[in-house]
Amino acid sequence: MQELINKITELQKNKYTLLQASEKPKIGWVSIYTPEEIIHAAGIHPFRITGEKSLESTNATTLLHRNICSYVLSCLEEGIEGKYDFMEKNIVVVDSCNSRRRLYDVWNHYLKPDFSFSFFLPRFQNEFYRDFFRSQTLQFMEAIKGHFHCDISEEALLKSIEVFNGTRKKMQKLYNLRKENKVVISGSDMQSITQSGMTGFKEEFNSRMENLLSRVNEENGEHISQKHRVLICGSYFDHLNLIEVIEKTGAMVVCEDISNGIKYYDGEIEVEGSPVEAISDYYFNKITSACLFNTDKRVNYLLKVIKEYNIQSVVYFSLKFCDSNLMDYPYIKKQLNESNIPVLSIELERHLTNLQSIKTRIQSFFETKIP
Amino acid sequence: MIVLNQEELQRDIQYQNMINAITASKHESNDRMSSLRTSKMVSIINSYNFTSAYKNKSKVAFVGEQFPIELILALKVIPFNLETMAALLSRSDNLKTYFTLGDENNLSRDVCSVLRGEFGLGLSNCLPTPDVMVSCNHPCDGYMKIIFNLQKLYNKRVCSMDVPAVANDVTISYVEAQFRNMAKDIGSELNIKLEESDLMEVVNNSNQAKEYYYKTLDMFENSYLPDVSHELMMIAMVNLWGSKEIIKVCKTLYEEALEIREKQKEKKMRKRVIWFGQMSFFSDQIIEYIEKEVEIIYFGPFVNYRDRINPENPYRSLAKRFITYSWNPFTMSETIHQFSTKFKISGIILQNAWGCRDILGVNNMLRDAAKENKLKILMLDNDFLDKEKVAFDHVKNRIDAFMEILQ
Repeated sequence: MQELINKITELQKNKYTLLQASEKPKIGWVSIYTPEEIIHAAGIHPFRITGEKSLESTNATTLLHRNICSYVLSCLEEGIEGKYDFMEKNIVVVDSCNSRRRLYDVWNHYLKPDFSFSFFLPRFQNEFYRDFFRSQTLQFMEAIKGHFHCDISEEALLKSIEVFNGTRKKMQKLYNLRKENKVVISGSDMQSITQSGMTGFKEEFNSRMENLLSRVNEENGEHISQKHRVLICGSYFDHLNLIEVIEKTGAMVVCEDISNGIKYYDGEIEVEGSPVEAISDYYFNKITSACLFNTDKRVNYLLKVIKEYNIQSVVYFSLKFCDSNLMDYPYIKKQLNESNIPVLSIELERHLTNLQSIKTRIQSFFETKIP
Repeated sequence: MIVLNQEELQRDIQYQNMINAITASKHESNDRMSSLRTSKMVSIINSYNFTSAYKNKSKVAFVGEQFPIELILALKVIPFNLETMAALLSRSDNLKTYFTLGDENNLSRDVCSVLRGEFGLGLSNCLPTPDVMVSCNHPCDGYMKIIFNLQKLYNKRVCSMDVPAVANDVTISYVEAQFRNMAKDIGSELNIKLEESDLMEVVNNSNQAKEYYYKTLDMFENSYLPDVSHELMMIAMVNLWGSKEIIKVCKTLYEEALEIREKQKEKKMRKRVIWFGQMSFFSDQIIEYIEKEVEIIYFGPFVNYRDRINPENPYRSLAKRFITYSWNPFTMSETIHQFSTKFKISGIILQNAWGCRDILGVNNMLRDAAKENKLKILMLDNDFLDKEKVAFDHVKNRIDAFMEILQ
């Protein structure tokens, strides 16, 4: 099975080489509210900018202050270092928080991308706000058509929806197996699989996922784990080494309620009328993110997931200076306490400058939870 | 997180708590007191409004900084600006107690100290129980989240206001529609009908006041007017637009500015710098030190320059004003370009407030704007509320160096 997992995670590990080899134009994105299907339907390759290749943010802090969220700084650092020169630094930024808003300003002003677009994510939910989001989605589509001189047909949109829904369904199948404790995939492998699905090679990803799911079904719950079950939530998080630290204590990460976890793959697009509206509404209805006003929706979803996955502990990783997650924490902590769910809160930097102290805190926390 | 019971949520108790919070100071302030009559008027009006908000019969709405309060006033509701309350708290010896309360309730120390102060005041039951709360991502998402957390204490209706950062026809229409919805929502929640005549009254008040306000601002083109820019900034911050009193405040300041101009006419103009962002609320030490050498002109009053509310469509005017006040490096750069020559500006001072992502996110683009306009720039890392995060002697060295290159 590991071989099949490796085949999937190669997409993530070789992301830059593969992206450069692809002849399609490309657009990077930084928020899971980006309607990728529209980019895909235009024949353009959408992928998440992750900042993972920047080892520090020295250059970025000359353009943005060091007290800005370090995910944003690391993405900017990659841009400055020329990691995205091969695709003319094209970017779409959904204005979902104050730091991303500034990322767009600075990226656009200093890096001079060939194509850039920013649209605003309403922080509240009702039909009025949904309509505004729809209007911006249409503007985004028109901007792509105008810039790349391409058509985006209804047929192409429906095809892209099918491909992206396919990815969602496959990931949800894998998640369901984790819920039922029928599959043992380490937290770090799972994280790599999740990120592979964000590289934009959807068709390839879907095919490799199909192979993995077939194998998992063949094994049919052969490897039942009795480990302490952990859920990760909070800011953007891709620190495989921290997942390993958790798992070395004898616990197992079985769910990632984060933007590069189940939140990205949640639900599916249901087309009844206009496909553009269906796409827009799918993203607008992602209501469990920290950037929105109503934390109750986030908490209710979190509690539902905790129940479904039979979670025993939660680790809340918040990036330093990620205000949305930092300010949600008081209420989330209170609600988890009331549900008797132990939670460990860790503020961390993108570049893990405080790794040793974080390790100690994780180890101490799980020593008290695992006999 | 702390839960307040109904017996505690009484405004007379909250008033006493607030008074205890903001008056706990063993030290006499060494800060300058403005000698302007306007300053005293503003203090009296603020005190009156503050006290009124704690009376049981008053209708109170929590609002954020620069929220266009005309609409709230037209509904006969008292707008209660949480940022102003945090600013008051900054001079208290007990500030740390309120921060600690936030820490103990799991709020990070890395968020803006104004938000930490607001959260601490809420948890310690110092704020008047509101009748309605306006949650808004302007000036920042942090403020929106504070309202969510406070709503859990008071369980009151929240009205939403969603503000994009860029002003254009589409976004202005979007915010305009929300103002219309908000007027209806607050009206139905508090059983108040918004009368057209009341709305026109606040519009007229606001516009009349702005006439004096901008006439005063324009006097800086050719005059040295100590203290006046500071007062213009204070008027913008306390945000009394639409009230009857604001007309008298702005008229008085204009008259005082005329008197000052007359007195100062023989004096040589001083070098001028423009100050971006707000000042530290706990002390005027930095401002006073800089003003020994140069004249400070505050940026705030230049935003929405010559802004007036169109009586034909006040909602749209308010929407435009609100969006334009967002921290937007491009419009700020344009403003620098527009006013630096006219007002003979030599340099820019930007206060980087710890935890304020809006300010921190624009500083390099402002540095470039300064360069393009041949202006010197000084960036000060500082805090709005927490004096423990600031060492004046460290800042002083940088100010001295800036002054040398200015001269």
